[in-house]
Amino acid sequence: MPDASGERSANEEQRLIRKAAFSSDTQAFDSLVAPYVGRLRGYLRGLAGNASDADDMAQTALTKAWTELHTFDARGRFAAWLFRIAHREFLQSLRARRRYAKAMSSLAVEPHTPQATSGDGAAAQIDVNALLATLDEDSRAAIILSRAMGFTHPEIATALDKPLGTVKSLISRATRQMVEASGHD
Amino acid sequence: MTSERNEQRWLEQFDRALEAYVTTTDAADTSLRDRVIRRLNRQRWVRAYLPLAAFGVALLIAGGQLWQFARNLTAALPSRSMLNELGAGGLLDSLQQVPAHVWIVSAALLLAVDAVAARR
Repeated sequence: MPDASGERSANEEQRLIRKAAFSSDTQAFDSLVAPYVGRLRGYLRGLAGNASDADDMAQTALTKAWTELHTFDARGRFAAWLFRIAHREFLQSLRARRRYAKAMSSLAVEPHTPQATSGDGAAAQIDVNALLATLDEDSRAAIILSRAMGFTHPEIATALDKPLGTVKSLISRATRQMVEASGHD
Repeated sequence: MTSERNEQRWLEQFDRALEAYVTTTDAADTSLRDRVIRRLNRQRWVRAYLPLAAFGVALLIAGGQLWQFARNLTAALPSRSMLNELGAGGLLDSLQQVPAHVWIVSAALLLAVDAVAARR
């Protein structure tokens, strides 16, 4: 899996970060995040299970990235930092949805549950959404980042804010769980 | 061995399916980026001009109140004829002859003394 930033050099990325963070240049910010937006949307879709919620989360995450850009540590990889913000946004949204579902159930009203939809790309024979839904949030995130986004284990640890050992065991356990769920064990 | 091969093949299929699932279209990505940039520009505009607008409004309110205060003060001061009747016309003439810089230096001295006293 190629690097999400494509051909762009680290120096060019640093230049865009400085320009966006210290000159409040929104065009520089747009150029900075452009190579990651597609993957960010795809990642959040994989986590949320539907495109519309994922886009709302991606929009909020990008806005937060803009306001928190000055806190980015240049020693780390920008993609991991950006996905960390997106993951936090997903967890917050999930908590809010659970609170809403709880409140609705106490009122005996049927809560709205998002319908799973396929991505912009064609869905394959394997029902990815159903398989991902069998995993808990952290495992789902780790599987998407490692198998579809090309993140290394340390980058996943940064994005999920988890120790490296935990990430490795999450990926291993989740892979086993999916294989078993598919009936190929 | 066959089981491992099946498992490996399934994982490869899963990776391809997952890749297709998380792949997005350029048009939708660009649309999201446009929405984000519009939102950021709005935020930036509000942050830049809102304090300025608030300062302008505060200045207008303060100016209006100062103007009202000056008008009330002028109305409350005794007129020249009233001062003459009270025998204070001569005092007013003397005060008017004091040069402006004397008043300014005196006021500055008073303020300085007040500031020193406040620090103690």
